[in-house]
Amino acid sequence: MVLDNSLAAEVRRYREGMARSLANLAGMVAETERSLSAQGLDLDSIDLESELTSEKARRMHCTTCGLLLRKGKIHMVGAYRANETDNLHSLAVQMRPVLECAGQAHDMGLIAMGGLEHGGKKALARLDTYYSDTMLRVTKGSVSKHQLFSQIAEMRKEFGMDGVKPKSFRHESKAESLRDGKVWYHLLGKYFCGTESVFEGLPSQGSVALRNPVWDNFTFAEFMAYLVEQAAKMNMSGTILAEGSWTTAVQNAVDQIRNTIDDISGFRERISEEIEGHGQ
Amino acid sequence: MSQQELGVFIQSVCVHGLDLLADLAQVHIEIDHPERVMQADEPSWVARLRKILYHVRAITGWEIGDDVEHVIAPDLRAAFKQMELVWNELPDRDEIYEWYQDYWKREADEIGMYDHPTGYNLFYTFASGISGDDKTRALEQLSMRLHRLGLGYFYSLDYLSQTLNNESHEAMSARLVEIMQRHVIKISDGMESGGITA
Repeated sequence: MVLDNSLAAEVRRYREGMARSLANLAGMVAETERSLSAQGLDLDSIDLESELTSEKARRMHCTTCGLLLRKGKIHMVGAYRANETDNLHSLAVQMRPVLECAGQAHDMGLIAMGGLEHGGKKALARLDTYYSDTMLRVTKGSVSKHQLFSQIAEMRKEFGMDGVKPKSFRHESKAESLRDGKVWYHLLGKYFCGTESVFEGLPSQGSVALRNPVWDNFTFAEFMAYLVEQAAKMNMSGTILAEGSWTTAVQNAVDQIRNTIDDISGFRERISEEIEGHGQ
Repeated sequence: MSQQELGVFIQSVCVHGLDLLADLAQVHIEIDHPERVMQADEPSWVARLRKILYHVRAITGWEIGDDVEHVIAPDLRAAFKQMELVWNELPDRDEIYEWYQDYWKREADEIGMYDHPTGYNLFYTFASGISGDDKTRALEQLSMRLHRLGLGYFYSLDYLSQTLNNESHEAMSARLVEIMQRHVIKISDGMESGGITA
């Protein structure tokens, strides 16, 4: 197939545009993280095993979300670097922790905005499972399951829920609240993070075969487009928690998601027009 | 040796680990350039090794500094997962091979803590968390993992060279050995100057 120059140029612009958005968002996420950390608990004095008051819980949410944003930003930088060095395999594996952070931050944002309405109940149940799983791991038996679940049940009552025990979780559930979160989580897990690789075929299936530059650029762009959208959601959730109410900062973070989605649609539209225009 | 000196020493061991991997990746490209079209009948471990190359290139692009153990972890883990399967294809089956057979999976699982963050494990440095200043333990683990990946990569490349470039295999093999020797000397020099006896 002879590749049309204007199509190739349009796809390249799409990739460059998404890389720019990723870099901008990493900066925004860092700023939101600082704002959350300023309101959160002092990390050195945190003792997750001590009694949890509601004020402590609020400040701990800020700290937790801040840490998620910081971790997410580290891997956004990793993804950006992977794009710069033409390394789709690295981009893909760097994406997954970002999705896990974004999903958890989004769950926290859902609860902060709507309480238990609009998916908040499920989000809280998911957060409970992450909390209990981590605590059981890190305390290595010094906190009993019964003790921990009773504490969680008490906290749940404050939200007007009954004392349901946390369920065990799968890592993929962290991406559940993101658009197509599970689909992407499986794609990245199957073809890039795991061992079930396709050695020939599409780059998005982890192929290591000789590649086509246009298809390659398109894959980088699509991966980053998804990442940028989810990172924007993570940033919005962090901003909601940091601000505590609907402020200009929250509105700006919401606008950021709209602009990102508009940008992506614009690029895709121009690419479709190029393809149709040349009958390919 | 003070805690600070130990930290500096471990950092230098990490740097050596990155250097080793970078040198081996260079040889890998010479044996099997990523743009070489693979044949349909080539064994899948050759392609898996190519995947390792991509991850090694990403790993060696970083400098040892703040949060490096986090940003390296996804690529390191992906490389370990592929290495587990490549390892099974290598011909020798002595003690080293047997010991490492379990190692790749075990370590990939351990690194998984970095790959699967929860808002809560990020509180704990010892659970692959992000808070806290003392990263000595994390860097110590990273240094071990980089060097062991280097060792696995070294064996795998030797076999790759034998498989793909049989004629020039001896020369390539000698080069790989020379890289490993140079590397071991660097580490032992570092140990001596740091006052550690092997």
